[in-house]
Amino acid sequence: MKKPLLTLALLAASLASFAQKPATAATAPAATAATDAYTTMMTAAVAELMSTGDPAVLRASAAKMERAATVKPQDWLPRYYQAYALLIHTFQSKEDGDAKDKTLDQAEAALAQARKLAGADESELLVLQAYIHQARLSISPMLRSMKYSGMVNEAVEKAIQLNPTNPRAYLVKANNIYYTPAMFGGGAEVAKPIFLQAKTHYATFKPASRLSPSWGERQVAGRLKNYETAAVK
Amino acid sequence: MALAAAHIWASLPCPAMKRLLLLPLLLLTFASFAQTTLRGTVRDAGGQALPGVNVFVRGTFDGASTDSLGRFRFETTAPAGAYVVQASLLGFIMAEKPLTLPAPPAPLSFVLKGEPHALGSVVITAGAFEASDEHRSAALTTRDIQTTAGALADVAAAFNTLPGTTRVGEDGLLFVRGGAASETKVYLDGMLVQNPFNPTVAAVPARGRFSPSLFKGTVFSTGGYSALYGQALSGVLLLNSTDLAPETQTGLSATSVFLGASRTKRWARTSLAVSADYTNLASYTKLLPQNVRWDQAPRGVASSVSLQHRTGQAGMLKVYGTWTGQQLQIGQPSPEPAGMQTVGLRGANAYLNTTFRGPLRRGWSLQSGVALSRDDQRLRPDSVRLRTLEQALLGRVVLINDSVHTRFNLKIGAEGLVQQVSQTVQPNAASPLRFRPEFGEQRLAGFVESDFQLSDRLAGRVGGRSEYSALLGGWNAAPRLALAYQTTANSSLSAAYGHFYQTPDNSLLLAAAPRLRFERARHAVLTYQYTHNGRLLQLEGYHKTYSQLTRFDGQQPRNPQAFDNGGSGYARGLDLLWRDRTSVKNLEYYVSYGFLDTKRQFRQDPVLAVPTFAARHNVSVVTKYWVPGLHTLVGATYSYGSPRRYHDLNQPEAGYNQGRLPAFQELSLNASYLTKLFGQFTVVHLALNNVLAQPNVFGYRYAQRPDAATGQRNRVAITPTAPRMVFLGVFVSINKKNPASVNERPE
Repeated sequence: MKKPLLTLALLAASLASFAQKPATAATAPAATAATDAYTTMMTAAVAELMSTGDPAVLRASAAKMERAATVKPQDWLPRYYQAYALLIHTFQSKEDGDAKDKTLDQAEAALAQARKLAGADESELLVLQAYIHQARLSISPMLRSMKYSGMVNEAVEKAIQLNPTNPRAYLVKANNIYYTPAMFGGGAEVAKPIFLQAKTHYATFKPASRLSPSWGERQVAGRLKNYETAAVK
Repeated sequence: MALAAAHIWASLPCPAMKRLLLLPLLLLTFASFAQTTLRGTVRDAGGQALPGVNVFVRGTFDGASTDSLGRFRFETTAPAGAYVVQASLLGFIMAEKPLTLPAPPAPLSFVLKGEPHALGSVVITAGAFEASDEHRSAALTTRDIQTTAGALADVAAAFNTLPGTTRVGEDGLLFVRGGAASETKVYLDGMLVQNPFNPTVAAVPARGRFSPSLFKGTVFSTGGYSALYGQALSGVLLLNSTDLAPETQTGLSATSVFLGASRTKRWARTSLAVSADYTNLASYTKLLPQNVRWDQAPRGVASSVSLQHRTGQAGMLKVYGTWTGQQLQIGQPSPEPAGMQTVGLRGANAYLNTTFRGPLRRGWSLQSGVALSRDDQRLRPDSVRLRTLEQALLGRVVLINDSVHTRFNLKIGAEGLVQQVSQTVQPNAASPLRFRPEFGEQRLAGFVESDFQLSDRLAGRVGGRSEYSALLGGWNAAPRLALAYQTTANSSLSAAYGHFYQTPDNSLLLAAAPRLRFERARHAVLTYQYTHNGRLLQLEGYHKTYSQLTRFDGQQPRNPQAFDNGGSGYARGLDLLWRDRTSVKNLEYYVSYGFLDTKRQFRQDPVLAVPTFAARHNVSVVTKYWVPGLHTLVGATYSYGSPRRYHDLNQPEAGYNQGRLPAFQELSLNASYLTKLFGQFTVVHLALNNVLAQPNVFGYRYAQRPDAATGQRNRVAITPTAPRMVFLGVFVSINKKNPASVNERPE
């Protein structure tokens, strides 16, 4: 028991002495260095978030985005991705409806914080809001579809109005239609042209910056591929 | 319809690029900074480990979430200097600790305190059942009211399946915990409704005037309600109408008993809806066997207009107007030698309700309204002619301040009523003799209420209400108190106590207004509620005492001197509700049981007795099952009521109200099939009430005089108007969803 403790203490001591050096050596302008580090860290964090479907990683990702928001409180993107991570968590986790609703409450709180920040992309925020409505709906489709299907539609239409080339708006819209029963005017066939529209817009889409929202293209491709395989059968 | 697979996360083009991005990051950290390991634990104020807490060095990405034992451990590469370590979790006040890097590796321990809960986070459940889509703790959803088998989309009938009510089949109204129907009042958007039910004759159940589709939420309170509501001794039904209609659409309905059309138009800040229904049961009553003779089957016209307009950010102006006219003539079995008695009815009702809510300055907001109503009823029991005309004007203002303090809010309000009721009684149509009793009432009410939060787990509501009646020449003061304690995350205990006053019924005021006083009740309610993952258990015990109830000598119902307020009574019991939405896929059901022990002396009761409208045991089982393959929702409701009392005139020695009716039983089924008709969304609805044709008896009519031969009075049973009720309807909504986009050129 004593031995590892001693090693740990030694290790800590050596690290501490090592840590002091760069502090005095750092001469680069602090501001730009911080921004660069922030962008680098955010890029890695976004990459990690976008490449996982593991609920535990998604939770950790949301926590990391919350930390990022304290590094650069005026940036809307950490709050946006925090909401996104929590939202995707509810689709991937096996929790019960009440727990998912709570997570979505947290996602909406983060989204509300993003909305307050200057420079936030209103169209992207609306798409995420629509996606959150869709998540609420899917917790209890029988009870909630009447209410939330309309809310998804309203948010998505507003997002398209603000930015007619936002491919994610078409993706969420198409998903909403895809999962609406045919007799209510939904279904796979009605959704297909919207998925195609999304695909067209993804082809010409250029994110405003390296960190700006750019997710969803693979989902559209996957959906359209399913149509092909269904047609072959 | 699961969306679980909907997310296929987007990603960076390839993993190689990801590695490229990470490489400079790693180089950067190793080149310039060293690592310090930070570790420790986070607990709540009670010493329990808190999982999921985000612990990090503020201003850096370095941090971790606590594990199930509240432990965290992470490396920071921040350069030497002064930092703050932050521990945050939603619902807790964030904790901070200063940190100087390089730091000694001492564990950090955090204690997080719960946030003072926002007002309303602990819900008072005592006495109230809510039907809402917005609150997760609600017992029912708004759709439940429309789909409960046996209720035929009638709000009161749907709530009659909840514990605390007795099914009184001959009446159709809400009888709450030993209270008469007139002791439960209906409020529409905060405004007391004078005549919420369509008029009817004895032994034909009444239906509510308002369609359940008008409301976004309904609260049915069986006791201990807030000081905002008065004039109800036993219960209140609070109806909250929807705000802006979601979309423009046209509705058409064709059913076995009525035809209807509606049109809703939605603009950006305004919506307008008009509707008209024509009801005629003539062919229906000819097709299906009836227990009564219809000289004129019920027929009527109902029309409504509603306007919603959003003013500013949070203001809402609503106007709702409805006009209904109806008539019928029924021949019912009679104990007299004629064998039949006939009653005719003509009714006309107009109602206009205008409400406004909106923010004022300094945290205050306003809820106000004006309502006008006119109700004209002409009854013709055999040769008697009876006309009752009631006109009322009601105004209400409530000022609410939610920001007086973080731990309590304040509501102050006033209500005024001007009412004129007149009656013309002609005992024999052949004779010109007429009586014209009438009365006019001016009533003023003021109330104050505050919701407060004493701790994270303890909340309450305290209030008082005072009313002055010019007609009764008196005033009353009613204190109300409710407390709720959150026992666990999923369960709570609530209690409510209050005094409740009510002006006696119109019929009593017409007979003896100047002699009467306010009737009074006291409620004490204790409730336990457990709700988790779509399951709800509610257990409620109550004790009520009634005093100053109006009574009169049954021998002289027209003599004002025979009336006084010396009646009294009590009611106590236990209500149980179990609801489950999740255990079986696509099945929802609830079971309600109410035990009621009550006695009272009121109206013509000569002694304290069990009232005829109270059943000791009431059970309802309501089920709904969605068959996805058939696009059909099927429902079944079974109701049981233990034997109710009646007064057996042939056995006066047994005592008053000692007769026992057979137990009440009813099984009702319904099915809603969702489909498309001419490309438009359509619901086909079939409902069968009392499928088994259970011969329920609601009471007896006795002959005026004993039979000369036997010395016994002849009697006939009061039964439902038909053995079964069948309803078939087709409802089409024409909705041009996704109309041509204005941004695209039409082809």
